[in-house]
Amino acid sequence: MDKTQLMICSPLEAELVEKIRSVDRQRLEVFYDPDLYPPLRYACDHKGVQTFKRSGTQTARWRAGLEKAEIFLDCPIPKELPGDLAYMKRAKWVQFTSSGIGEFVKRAGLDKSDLILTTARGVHSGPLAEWSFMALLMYFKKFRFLEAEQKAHRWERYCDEEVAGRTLLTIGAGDLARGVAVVARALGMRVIAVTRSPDKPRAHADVFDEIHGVPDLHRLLPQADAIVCTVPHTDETENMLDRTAISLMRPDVAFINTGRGSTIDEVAMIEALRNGKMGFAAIDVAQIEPLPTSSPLWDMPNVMINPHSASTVTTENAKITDIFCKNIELYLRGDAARMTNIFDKQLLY
Amino acid sequence: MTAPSPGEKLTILIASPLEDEFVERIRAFDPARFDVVHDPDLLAKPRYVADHNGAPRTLTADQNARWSDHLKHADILFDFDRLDPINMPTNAPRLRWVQATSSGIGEYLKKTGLENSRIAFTTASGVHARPLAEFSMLGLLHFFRDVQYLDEMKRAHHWERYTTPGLDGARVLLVGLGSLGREVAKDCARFGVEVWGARRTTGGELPEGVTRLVNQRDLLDVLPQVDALILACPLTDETRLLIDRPQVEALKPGAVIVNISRGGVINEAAMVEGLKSGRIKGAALDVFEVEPLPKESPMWDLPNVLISPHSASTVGAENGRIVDIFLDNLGRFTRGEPLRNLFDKTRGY
Repeated sequence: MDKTQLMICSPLEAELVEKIRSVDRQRLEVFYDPDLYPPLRYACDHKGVQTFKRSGTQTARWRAGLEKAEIFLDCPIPKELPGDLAYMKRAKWVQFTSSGIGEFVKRAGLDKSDLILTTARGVHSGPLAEWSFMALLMYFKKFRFLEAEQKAHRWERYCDEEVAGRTLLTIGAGDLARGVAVVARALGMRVIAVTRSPDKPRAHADVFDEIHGVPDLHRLLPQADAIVCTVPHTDETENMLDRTAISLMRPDVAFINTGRGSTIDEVAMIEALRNGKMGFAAIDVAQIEPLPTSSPLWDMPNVMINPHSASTVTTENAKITDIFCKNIELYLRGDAARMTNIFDKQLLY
Repeated sequence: MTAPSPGEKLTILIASPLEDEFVERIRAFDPARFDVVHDPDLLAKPRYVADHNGAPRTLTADQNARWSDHLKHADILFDFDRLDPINMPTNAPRLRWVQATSSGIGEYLKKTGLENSRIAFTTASGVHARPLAEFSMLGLLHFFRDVQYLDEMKRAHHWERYTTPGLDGARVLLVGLGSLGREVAKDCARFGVEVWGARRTTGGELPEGVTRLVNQRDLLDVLPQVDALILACPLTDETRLLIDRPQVEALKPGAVIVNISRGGVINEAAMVEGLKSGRIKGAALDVFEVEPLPKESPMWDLPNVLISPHSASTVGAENGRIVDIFLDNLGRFTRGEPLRNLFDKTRGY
């Protein structure tokens, strides 16, 4: 019997490659040639060092792998199309290691193909919810005030604040928003979600106290003590939080961005933070990444910056591999329609 | 404590600063049965919202006479008479019961000798649980999500993606599973933390969020296996120096400590040594052996210590919550039911 060929296109720990092999040693043949992958910049890095180049023979081996494979864990994302995609002649299914693949899928025309695409949705919501709440707790419980008092060796009892009872607005009602909402609820917050599809059936809808459509955004902004922005970059989300939207926010609002920098007018955000029209911002994403060293955001005391690493935890690859292995089993059984995280080529997420 | 006889009218004396709206709530509870005496001129002035001690004060001869008279007629006190607690039994001969505004009153009752009186004491246990749980999560997230590292990178305008272990999957030993510990356990579990709990009594159901109960005698075996230690127990003869030098030194290198109980539960000097050497990754502390924390304490300047001046429990909503408990207890008292949060001398809390 011909084995089903599977190629791993991004660096992966040896024990996880083994785990994938062990899903079905009879039917599955896994291609993972360790010296074909770029050195890592950090653990669970999928892209690797930018200057990496394969030699002639390495490239030949790489392309031979691409040509044979039916199943892919990640696929090469070329700067110029079609790049290595042209070699993926037998490709039927690609499991990505991230969730924000909409831009690439559109650019590469994969939304018009028959390729099954699955994402790593779910893997990042936990770490992002953690980081979002780290930032929210720091702000509402006056961490910087405590820090300053400590620096001055001053012991003076005071009345603190709490997160309980406050209103959290999520931009988005998908998995990232769900992750944040679940924590917010447990901490006694009221959670409102704004999404482009408020009526879409969602298994996790109960996690929000209210779900509204984008037309309600401006009406809802003044109610928010905290806003967590979780949406991917699409035509509709670009600049959704423009100058007007920002002006409707509470002047002491805590703004957290774990989606994409393009959703908010960064210049207007900076102004608002400076002029007491926005209390605090914690950003994992920015308009330009890496954030240019000249950006005013670096020196603002009411800003927290994470270099787009808030979702990157050491267990990430293990979690992705888990999803992938379960999906492989379904795929091999002819049950691909029931795989987890199938990417919707119409909605582009 | 016997219930009031039918028709018996009792006097409640408000002994610490309390906002008018709450005094009114108490008045309105059962005016047929309870008279409420609130003489704010004689009470301390609060220095911040929910300050029950108030600024130090001396009463004039006239004021003293009025206060003595109030005490003479008081059947129930809302808070202790902080002017002369030791002589409360003599000064307030009709006094049956004091509703305290804090949770940890064991030491106070011992110091003042009041634990030997026949007066019943109920605490505010539970009121501080949410704010203190929030502080605990702030402390854990601060160290598990690298706030110090991110601050350094921000100062250097340095954007470099990196991987963090994150909090999800970490294991915590939580000492104390009362109203405070139970909230902490729930919050930790929400973030994917594995919670092992230690409490005075063994056996019984596992509280929500706790996956394993540990005997207080087995701490030395357990401490090397956890990533963080959270102290949420009362200070009693049993818990004083529960975490002594051997226990502090048994902690896994890189462990984090959160203390929301009392400074006396842990060997502070041993903890400071561990923090200085970095063996203990960091500590978030709301309580200390000596409070206010002396100016010379090395902890002020340790970058891996978060100091809160015993204020993490105090939030604006506090007085409302204490009055909730008080009113509940007034009802129970009237009906001859056991009071909520009744202090037990043998337990020490």
